[in-house]
Amino acid sequence: MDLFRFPPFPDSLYDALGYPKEGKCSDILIISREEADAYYAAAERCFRDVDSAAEYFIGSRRLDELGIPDYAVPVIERTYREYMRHPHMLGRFDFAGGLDGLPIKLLEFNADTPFSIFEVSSLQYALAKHHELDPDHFQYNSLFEQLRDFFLDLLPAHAGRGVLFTNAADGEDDLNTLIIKDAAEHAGLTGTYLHWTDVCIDRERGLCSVDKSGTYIEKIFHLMIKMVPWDLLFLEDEHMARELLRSMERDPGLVVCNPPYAAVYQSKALLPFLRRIFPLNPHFLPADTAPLPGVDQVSKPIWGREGRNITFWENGGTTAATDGFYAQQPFIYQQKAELACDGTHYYQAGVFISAEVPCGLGFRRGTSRIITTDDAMVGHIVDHGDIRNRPALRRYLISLN
Amino acid sequence: MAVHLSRISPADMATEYDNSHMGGTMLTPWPETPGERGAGDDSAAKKDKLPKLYGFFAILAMASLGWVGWRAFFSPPELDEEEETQSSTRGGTSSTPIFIPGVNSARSGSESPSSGFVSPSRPRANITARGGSFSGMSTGS
Repeated sequence: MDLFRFPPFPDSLYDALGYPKEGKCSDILIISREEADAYYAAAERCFRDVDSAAEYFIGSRRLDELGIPDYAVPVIERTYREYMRHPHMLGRFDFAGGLDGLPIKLLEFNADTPFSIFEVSSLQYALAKHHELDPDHFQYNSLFEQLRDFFLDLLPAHAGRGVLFTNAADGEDDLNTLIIKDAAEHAGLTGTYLHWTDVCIDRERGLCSVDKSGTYIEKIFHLMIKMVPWDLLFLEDEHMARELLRSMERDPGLVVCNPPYAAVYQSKALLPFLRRIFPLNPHFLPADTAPLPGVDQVSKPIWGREGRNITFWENGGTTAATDGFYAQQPFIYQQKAELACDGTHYYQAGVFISAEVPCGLGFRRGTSRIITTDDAMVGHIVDHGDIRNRPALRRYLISLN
Repeated sequence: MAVHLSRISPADMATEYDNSHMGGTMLTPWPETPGERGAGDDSAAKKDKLPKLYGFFAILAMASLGWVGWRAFFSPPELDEEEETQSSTRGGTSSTPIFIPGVNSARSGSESPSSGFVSPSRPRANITARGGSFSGMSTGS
């Protein structure tokens, strides 16, 4: 594994990007063209199979097995059927392997509200640009452009209508939401940004915002880009989930991104079925709802996120674990996959997919095999021949393993 | 229209309005000071016009009285002082002192609390759900 270990980037660069400086990393991983293509192909194939599996579960009305409540089923069915009107905006496949000859294995599909959008689309691009590594041509990164194209497709149906961008937290959540909003504006789709707690459902008019007194409706929305996952609404804000879905039933023109069927993609309870339905897909790991006999494995909650409540089971015992809020959920057990390692850090790849097109690669690394969002993002550049030999870069080049 | 007429000075009327309905001749500019237009040579004509002018101002006075009465009768009793001030100042003039719900509401495009009028652009909310906060669980993955 080769990478450029640059001196820390100036704070002014992070400030100019509005990026919080914690977790910053100035290393840039060098990957081959073949490795980049393999990630792209894996994401494309995995999405195709995940989508087919989702179609099966939706069509056979087995969504309860994935942890999806009954009241969400009708809207999931309809939006999935009308996917042209309700397209899937963005997801991120988390892969183990893909570097140093390790096979690419799907760890999970963050299909609803993936993080790292800003880091992958903008930050790693800026870092590579700063060192004149020509990321426009040699970085696997068209995430922003693909998001813009996604909104271009929505433009005819939604131009001039109420568009809402919302999230429920601060910090990175804001950055991710704003980069999506920026992509939409580049496509000509302008809208309003609101915190999730300011988003309302009106009995007559559906999705809206109200004035401070709560007496009058200020804006009515027909398109919502939300960074609040459906599963979290099912678990923690059921009333809002029901009312939002009811609004979508009443008004078929109301579009929410990601659509409700993204919860089907997102559920980790789908992982055991993927391996059974598509045994020839080399990226799917053996998984089950019960512990797997005789193999090292990882248990994870079906709606867990950010690497929380994950446990490594090796040689009959627990070797690594994280805590979190998801301990009460059902768990699945997935065969352990090997992460690339530079001797100090473990690397996990994330490949974004927007409107069914793989469009961006980013890496996170940590000293534990359980990678969380607190771990640092590492940029990448695709090797294009002489990059290791450039005099200006040679002194930053290090080979690890 | 009584409102507008009441705000137009006689001099304005003289230059802007045809008074053919009051005798078929154009009003001349109102003398600013006695004798300005000459003391003797047009006195007869002035005498002839006086009854017509008296008639005109009588009509004007009746119209003004009518407006005051109409306003007293029809203006919303709940209209508070602040709203009335707004309604008379919104737009930069006081030419529309009458509060007409939905037409010249002080809160343009809004519901008048006195009338129950609901404009299409800012209707009264009937909220059934609102986004909640979450118990520490992350929203991203």
